[in-house]
Amino acid sequence: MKKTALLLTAFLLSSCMSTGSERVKDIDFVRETMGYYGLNKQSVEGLFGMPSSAFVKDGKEVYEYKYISVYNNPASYIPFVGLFFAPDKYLANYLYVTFDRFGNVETYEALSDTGDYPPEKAF
Amino acid sequence: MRLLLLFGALLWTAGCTFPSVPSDAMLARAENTFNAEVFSKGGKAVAVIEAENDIPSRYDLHAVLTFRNERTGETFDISVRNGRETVMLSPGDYTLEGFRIVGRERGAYTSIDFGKRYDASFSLEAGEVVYLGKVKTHAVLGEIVSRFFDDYTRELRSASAVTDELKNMSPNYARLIEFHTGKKPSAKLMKWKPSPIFKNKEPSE
Repeated sequence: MKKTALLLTAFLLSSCMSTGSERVKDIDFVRETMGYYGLNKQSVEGLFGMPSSAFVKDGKEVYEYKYISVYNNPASYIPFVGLFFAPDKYLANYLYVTFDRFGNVETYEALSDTGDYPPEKAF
Repeated sequence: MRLLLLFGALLWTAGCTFPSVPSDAMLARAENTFNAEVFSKGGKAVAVIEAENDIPSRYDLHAVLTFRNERTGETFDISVRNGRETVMLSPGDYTLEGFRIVGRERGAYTSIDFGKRYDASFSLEAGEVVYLGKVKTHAVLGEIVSRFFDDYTRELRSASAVTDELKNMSPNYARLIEFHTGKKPSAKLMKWKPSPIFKNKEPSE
């Protein structure tokens, strides 16, 4: 009973929120998967689902997948210890896939940005 | 005694560093903070917004504007803490969902909620770097509502409008935007007008 209560408390305290596609949560998996030869629009949709947005750049269709999450460090709930481990963290993963006019993957780029929340501003 | 000390320590740490639970607003902020790499891929726009107010207060008050993306229904806050704020957004149509003037100092918190007093909207296209205008909020003194000998209380109203102050933007800031985005910000003022419900209550200029 005690163990269950402890586990439940730990689960409640280590809260996390996310938006976007869970399938691009693991950026290493994304990079590995996109390295496969001969991917096209259908196979990309099969792997990662429908994109969060699609747009045309330089006459070529681009799919954008994103996964954004913010989570707080469970250590921040421990008195005193929390003072030194308090910052919330964020993770922003993006996958951009560019298709040629036949619908085959021409290029892709997987970006990952993580750090203490809030993210640092460029200006 | 030990228990008392522990309780005191707990209260102190709770008061100083009680962790915040991640919220939608935090997610939106993580997503909308300008990221040069993401912007360079296309499919995003950059919007600059300024705000100022002369509402009398013992400490600094700044505007917090909440906008809603008409396509996705997602909302996000723009907290114009230092007079201007720059955000990276997806292209689309946006409408004003909320408008507050807030301030905080040493635990004291002030919030003036203008709610749906104003209707505002803007639209963005991919790759754009736009200046949405400066939201100016001025205090307007109204009628005397109560008098007690020499002390009196005056009604305080306010009026907000959007003006084009792009020409007055700090050259350094403008250059910084150009450096990171590769484009100079161009004026594309948001449409800002009193909400029909409050139109008749606006103070006359």
